[in-house]
Amino acid sequence: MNEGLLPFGPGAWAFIALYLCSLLLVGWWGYRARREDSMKDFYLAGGGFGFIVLLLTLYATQYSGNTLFAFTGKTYRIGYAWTMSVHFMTAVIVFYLLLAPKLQARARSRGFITPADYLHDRFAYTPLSVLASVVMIVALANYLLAQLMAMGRAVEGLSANTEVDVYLWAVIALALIMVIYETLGGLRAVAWTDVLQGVVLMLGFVILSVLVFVYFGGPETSALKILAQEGGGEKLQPPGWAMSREWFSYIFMVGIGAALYPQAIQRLYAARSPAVLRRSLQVMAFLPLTASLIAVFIGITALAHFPGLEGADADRVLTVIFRDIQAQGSVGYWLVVVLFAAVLAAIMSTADSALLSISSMFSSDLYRRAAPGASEKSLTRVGKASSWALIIVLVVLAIALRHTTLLKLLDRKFDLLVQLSPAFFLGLHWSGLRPRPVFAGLVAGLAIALGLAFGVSGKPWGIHAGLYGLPVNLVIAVGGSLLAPKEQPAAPG
Amino acid sequence: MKGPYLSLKVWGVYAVLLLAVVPWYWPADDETRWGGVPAWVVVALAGSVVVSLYTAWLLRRPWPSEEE
Repeated sequence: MNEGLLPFGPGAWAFIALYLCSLLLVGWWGYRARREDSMKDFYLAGGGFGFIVLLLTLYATQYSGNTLFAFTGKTYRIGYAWTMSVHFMTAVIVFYLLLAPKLQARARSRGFITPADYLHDRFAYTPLSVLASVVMIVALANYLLAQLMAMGRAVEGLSANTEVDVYLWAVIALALIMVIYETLGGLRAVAWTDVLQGVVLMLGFVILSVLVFVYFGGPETSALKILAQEGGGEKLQPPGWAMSREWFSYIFMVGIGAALYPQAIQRLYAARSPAVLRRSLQVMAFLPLTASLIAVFIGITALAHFPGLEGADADRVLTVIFRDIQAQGSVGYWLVVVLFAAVLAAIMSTADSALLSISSMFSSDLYRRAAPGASEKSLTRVGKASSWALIIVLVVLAIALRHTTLLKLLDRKFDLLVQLSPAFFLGLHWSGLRPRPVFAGLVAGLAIALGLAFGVSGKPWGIHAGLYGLPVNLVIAVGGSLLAPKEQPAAPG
Repeated sequence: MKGPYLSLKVWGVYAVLLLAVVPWYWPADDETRWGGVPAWVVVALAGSVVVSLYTAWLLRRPWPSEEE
């Protein structure tokens, strides 16, 4: 990914090593701060988080390496139309309005650990809870694999050493650091490192936006350069109806799908109080204007000044910009060191949250059902062991698949997650929603989404495959509930 | 307990904002720029700021669970 960068010297590597060691130290603090050997203490940090920690852990989890690399790359390819990323990241907070107040209240009163705990409590139907957990684990495991590969590529591009396999050792070392602090301190360690990573990431975005304006000029300079390129005008023009359809599709797809990220739902559970969560969401509503928007302007600047990258190569435009800044002298060089730390922060803070979430779902949703008498201590131990087992498997896959483009299934995670929306969004507000129709709807929605995505196209007629499955899913869930005889007790929030 | 944002008014406002922020209605050949940024992008971003302000405004009131 960073193959255009100038190699870092020993001082820069010492800075990066210091930053990584500080993550381990925070993990140790998290371990020391534990109050008991319980699932709640390990996976939800016991009494929960206050405003600053909750806000920064939500921010660091939501904005990943994807925001930095893929969003700038996408803007480079399609131009200002990727302003839609600001809209769909804002939409996530809008959809939380339907989810957060009731789900958090219910989680506090019933002691939920995982998203499937809510489903089990609301519907008491094991096939639904298990299928939902499997869907969430599959979606997140893919996401985690992509983050591991991104880590390896980021470090690989910076090393002057050609004697050793840098990608391999970078994936192993960074995954090891992550799994150590995660299994030491659980969510407490992950969220506290998120605070550090969130600050570094915010700092990175601010430095990057200032540097880009200083070195490359403002939007007018970029616009004139883009207009001078062959076909450049299209990147500045309003989207036609086809792109607008995609725009609407992204708003619903990411807005609903990312609101249902298991690691995000667990952060709703881990808020110290409803007021803390409400105030964090108030601030989160504005953060797309700082993260996604900056990525769009950087993509436009890159398009203006470094044209010619095609296809997947466009995803490394940020690296091209980094290299140009590096070449400006020692200030530029050190700023890129800080920016590289921000890249690692963005990737690791998302990866560690996904890893912890998968571990909790494996232990609480799957293992607990297989061993109903297991103590809290042994469930926590199984969860930690599953983190190590999963990370070993994913590291091996990240190394084996290193020369392939990122798995197509990664694009499918939102197609999968949106199928859970009737159970969550509707289940919280309508007591008439029944478990079996919800399960049947989920199966149908998944079949349509995956069938279309792999058999036809990821976005037939510009609309994501998951959004074709969702209406069918919804009709079955609602229709089946209305037609079903009143047999099961329902317990809305 | 009824959800605090379950009202037609709230989601009606979001529906109008959704139709306003996505520039499907903008003339395809428009080349107006404000400060170097295409006018349709400025309008889409202004709409996004309104969505954020409206969401933050809705979130100003305590949730029912805060009063329990």
